[in-house]
Amino acid sequence: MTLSHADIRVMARAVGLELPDSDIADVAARTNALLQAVTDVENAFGARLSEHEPIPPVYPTNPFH
Amino acid sequence: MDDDALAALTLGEQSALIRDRLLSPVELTATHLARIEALNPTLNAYITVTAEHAVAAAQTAADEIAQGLYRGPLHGVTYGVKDQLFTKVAPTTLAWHVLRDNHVPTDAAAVERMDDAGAILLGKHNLDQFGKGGATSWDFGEPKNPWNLRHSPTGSSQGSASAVAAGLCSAAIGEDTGGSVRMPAAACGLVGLRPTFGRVSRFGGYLFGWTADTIGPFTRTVKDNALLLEVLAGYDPRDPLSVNCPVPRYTEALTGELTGLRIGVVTNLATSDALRDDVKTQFDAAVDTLRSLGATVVAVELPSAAYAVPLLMLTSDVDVATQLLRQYLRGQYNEVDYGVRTRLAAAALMPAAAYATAMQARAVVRAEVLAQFHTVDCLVTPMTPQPAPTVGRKIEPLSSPEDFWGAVVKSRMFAYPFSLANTPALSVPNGLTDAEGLPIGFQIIAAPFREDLVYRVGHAYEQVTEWHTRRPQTSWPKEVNE
Repeated sequence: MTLSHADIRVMARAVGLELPDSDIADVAARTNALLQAVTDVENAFGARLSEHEPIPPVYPTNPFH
Repeated sequence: MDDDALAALTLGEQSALIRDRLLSPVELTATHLARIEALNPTLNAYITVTAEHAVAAAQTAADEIAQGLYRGPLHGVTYGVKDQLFTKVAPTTLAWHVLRDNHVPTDAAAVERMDDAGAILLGKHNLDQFGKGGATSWDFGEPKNPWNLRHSPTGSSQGSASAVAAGLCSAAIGEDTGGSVRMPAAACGLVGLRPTFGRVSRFGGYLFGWTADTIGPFTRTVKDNALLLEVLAGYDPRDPLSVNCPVPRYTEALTGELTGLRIGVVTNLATSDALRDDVKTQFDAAVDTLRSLGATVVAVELPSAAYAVPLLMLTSDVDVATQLLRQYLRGQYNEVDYGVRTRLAAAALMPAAAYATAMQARAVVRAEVLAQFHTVDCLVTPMTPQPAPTVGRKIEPLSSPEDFWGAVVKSRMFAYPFSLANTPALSVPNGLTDAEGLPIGFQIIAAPFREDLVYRVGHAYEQVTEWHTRRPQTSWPKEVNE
């Protein structure tokens, strides 16, 4: 699914951003590119995704130090 | 010694002269300030020059050394800091005109540590606005690469790399989220480190990419870099993700030999079609050199490397956009650079589910990278696939998914996997391009907290090569300056 310029305007309003007309096309392209990339990653990683917790990259019990 | 010769020395060479009282910190500071005055109007490396503070600090250092109160190898040498980190003596602008007079009453932990070591702050270095790569306008002038003024030093720690390469300071402190120290270091013929996340305190700066931002040094040699990290590294309770583990003497790891080390060449990066031929040739030569030094070189693969780019870009940009949305974007959107604001606006619109998925996927990539260190001591890759881009660039093309997986991913996929994995990564000069005479670098990566290993490999490479001894000539023809 590709978000339209109108979709982007509504989404921006939802976070309190009023985007000027000059920016809509680029913001839409970037938003769609990132969302498509997440879909691509989901497809590529498959079940492996569910095996990992989304924790920050820190090592509280680090085997390396 | 004339000013050009003094400025061409490494930090270690300048430091040795100061220690032996053959050079005064006052003279070194005056030399660097004079070069800044002469060259900064062309290079735009500094946003703010703290000359008055520097002259006073240099005199204090000279007095202390004369009294036998020598603090160590950074005593009396000079440095600059990316204008993303706080300094009491100068505003912190994030390269944004709105923050031109933004005085913060504290120093970054990194600045405190440099000052405690006796180093002399010369000023704040230029960067892509907000420290986000992709700026298309420059409120304080576009930084230039001293090796070729038609080219960028590469972002986002642009001014820091330009300043060290041109001899406008002895060293610099930058910030690396997705390569912002390593890539400009490569583009300017310098050594640049991304340390393990948690190794250097993030206290005291605009570091809103809270799961990826690291602070790292720019220097001319690996040994100089190790000297700086010995000062910068260490636990700081003011940074909640600072790690409380001992700081090794990194300089003691610089043995000059690699016998017994297993080094993995990341073949899917080393043979990528994104690499320009001369970059690939020089990388292959660097690998041969490591082999000749006694390392066992093996091939490894990181199949998920390219995925690191959207994953880090999405999550880090969301983190930054979330903060800046509250702080600036809602109220002053049109004051922000076009390339930066559209990038941040897109990040601000990401659904929470996409962010959480990306954070999970980051852990997958991280596990893939860390698994390598069960069989090898270090990984090596080219640092960037191409030399530094030209100045005056426009916004990156993003009109289709092909643009994203093409231009955006291919330029970053050498740096981002190791940001996600939270491993130390060092960029070391390994050549000059054929056509433009621009520096290129290769990257050495080790397991978390093994900065000693990346330094050991980089230093051994330097001992048998001469790329780190090259300097850009800085007496540019008049027409090039215009």
